Amino acid sequence: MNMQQSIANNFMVLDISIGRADPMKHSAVASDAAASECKVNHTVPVRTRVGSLGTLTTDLKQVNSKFASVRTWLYENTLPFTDAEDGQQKRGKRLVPVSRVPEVITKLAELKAEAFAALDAFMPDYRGYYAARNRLDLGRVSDVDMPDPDVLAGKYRVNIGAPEPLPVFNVDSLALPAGLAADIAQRHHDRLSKQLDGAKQAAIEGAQKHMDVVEKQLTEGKRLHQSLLDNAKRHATLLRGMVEGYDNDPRVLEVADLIDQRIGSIPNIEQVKHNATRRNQAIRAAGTASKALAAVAKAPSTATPVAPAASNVIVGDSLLADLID
Amino acid sequence: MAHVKTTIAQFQQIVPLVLASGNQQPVGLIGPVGVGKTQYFKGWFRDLYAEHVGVSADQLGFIQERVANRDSAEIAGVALPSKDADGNLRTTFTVAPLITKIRETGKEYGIILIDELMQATADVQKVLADLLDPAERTIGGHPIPDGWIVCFTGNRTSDKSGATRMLSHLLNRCAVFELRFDVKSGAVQQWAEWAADNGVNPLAIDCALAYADDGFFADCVPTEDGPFCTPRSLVRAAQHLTAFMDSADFDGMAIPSYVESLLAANIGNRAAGMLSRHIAMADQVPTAAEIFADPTGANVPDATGYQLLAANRAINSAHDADTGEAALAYVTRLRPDLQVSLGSKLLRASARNGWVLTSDVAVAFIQKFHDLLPLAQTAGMEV
Repeated sequence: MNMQQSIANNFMVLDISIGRADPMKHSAVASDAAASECKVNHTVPVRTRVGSLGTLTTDLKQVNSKFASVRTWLYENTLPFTDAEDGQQKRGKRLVPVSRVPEVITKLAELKAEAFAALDAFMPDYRGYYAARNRLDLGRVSDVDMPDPDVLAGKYRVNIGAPEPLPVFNVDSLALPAGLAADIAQRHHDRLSKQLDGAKQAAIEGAQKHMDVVEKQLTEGKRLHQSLLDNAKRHATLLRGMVEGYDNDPRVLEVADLIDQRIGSIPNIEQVKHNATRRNQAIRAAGTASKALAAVAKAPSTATPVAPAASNVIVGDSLLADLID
Repeated sequence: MAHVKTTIAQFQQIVPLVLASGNQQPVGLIGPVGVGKTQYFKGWFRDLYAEHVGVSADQLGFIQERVANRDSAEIAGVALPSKDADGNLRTTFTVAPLITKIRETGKEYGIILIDELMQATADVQKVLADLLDPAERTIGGHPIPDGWIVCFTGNRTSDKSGATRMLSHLLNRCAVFELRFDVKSGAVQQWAEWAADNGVNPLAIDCALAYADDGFFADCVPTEDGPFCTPRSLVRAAQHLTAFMDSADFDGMAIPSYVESLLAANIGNRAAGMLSRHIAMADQVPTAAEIFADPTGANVPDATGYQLLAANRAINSAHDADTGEAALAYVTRLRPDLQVSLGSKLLRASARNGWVLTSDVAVAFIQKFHDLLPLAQTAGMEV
């Protein structure tokens, strides 16, 4: 079994989609009034937004934050599965170690239920408000309508996709000319390598950034928050989950152990505040972990581009490229 | 509640903070027998305190009180009946012997080392409570001079040395640390440096480094009666070894059974056997320095044990990226199973010690053995 095939057995890909209503609507009337009131030159664009749910706009934002928290949790606790380059948006499918799939699905379902519970609690208030005060609280803003309650509720959704196995291309299963099959397989392997390496890099960079924060906060910070420790544990889990399913890089596993032993094992931030020894240990561990992760991140990739079966490969120009062109 | 674990290196950083705080809190090191606790206070701690008060180490007074075989009256002073000028009976106390000793040194600054505190009876520990209390600093009612500080050592109850638990009110007054002695903490390497500087037989040091992960030093007191290997007992054994190697009876390789028995009397049969075999194979196995100098050309012995020894020598002596890369290059020439376990160990050590290996050799190693590395970990193949 080559590296990618074995990796494919260790991970699943998960996608979610979330729908929410944006309660803030652009109003030309409000924009004109604001421009006029502020004596803004007419050539300067002014764009004003008005809460379309009147006085309940803020309440809906709180509901929205519950829906957003589903994606936030997923993004904090899983890794990107994308071939986007550095600096590009890395939204989309998420990579989850097989062993963590039940935990992730359960947590997402829990957060989804909490989000809809918040919406269900909000809707009766809104229905009453809509019936009693429709538009009255919007004053002179005539170009923004309060949404119909049923339409508003219909915009909310959280779809948790079924976890999918990693796509591994089996060149033998397709009746293609050998050269074309080999070319497709090679491209597929390259893409998967990039996606997996990207996930490992994301885990490393995320952990490294947090270790820098831990080191700085514990050295200079005055208000230490429990999330410093909780996030350290989370990053160690992400590192370990990624590496154990991928290349078993001992360097990264040692860093994950170090984070768990010296930072994650501290049960309460109060212990760090009042125990100089533990604090110094955690500072040193964070510094060591950050340095090690930075070095690993800069080092050559451990992803092995596995060539397709060499026996039936026609060496020469890419047949696929010719066909595509 | 477990004691806070530390290493000598870490303790060296802690002590200046304690001294700088000015609260004169006593510090204590507890731990296994023979790992150098007392030696630490006699040497490095003394230097740190001398530096702190701005005198040379030999200008410091040093009093080592072995309290395990004392009773409380010997510590606090003895009550004596006497008559005052009016003929009334009254009780007076002799000056505590410790106070007398301090006065006899004539030193303004000094260290009082209470040795084997946990072996002392509860009565003795109670009498020492005021001495160990930074707010009191008295013994038998007599204050100790401001320039003198108190520290102590002791064993754990699990060390089978007659130690009991430290009374909680003492524990609450002092800063107590449990000294670790293992490879992962760097303590073995640090001991090796000390040993090299103090003329300990290099073969004994080399053997300790090579087999430290393989139980060369006892990690606890054995259940059966008999000697066991600690840094202290190894130093004694190494002195006997040096005496034999300086004699005409040593042929340059073999350790005769009577010498091995002498070594075993200090460090136990297991460690003595390791040391004998280590000496016998010493000429076949490259040293760490030889491996670092030429990792691709250094001799790779045929026998697995010798390969293991050679690689462990290099891995345990690696101290930066260059020596680490050299060790890895050598490891990749060994038997495949040793490559996996030793390479994994080296890569982990490199990450923890801050000179993480990132060369093409390291990356190629991970690529090649990615599916076997977990086996090295879970099956206990780490050597």
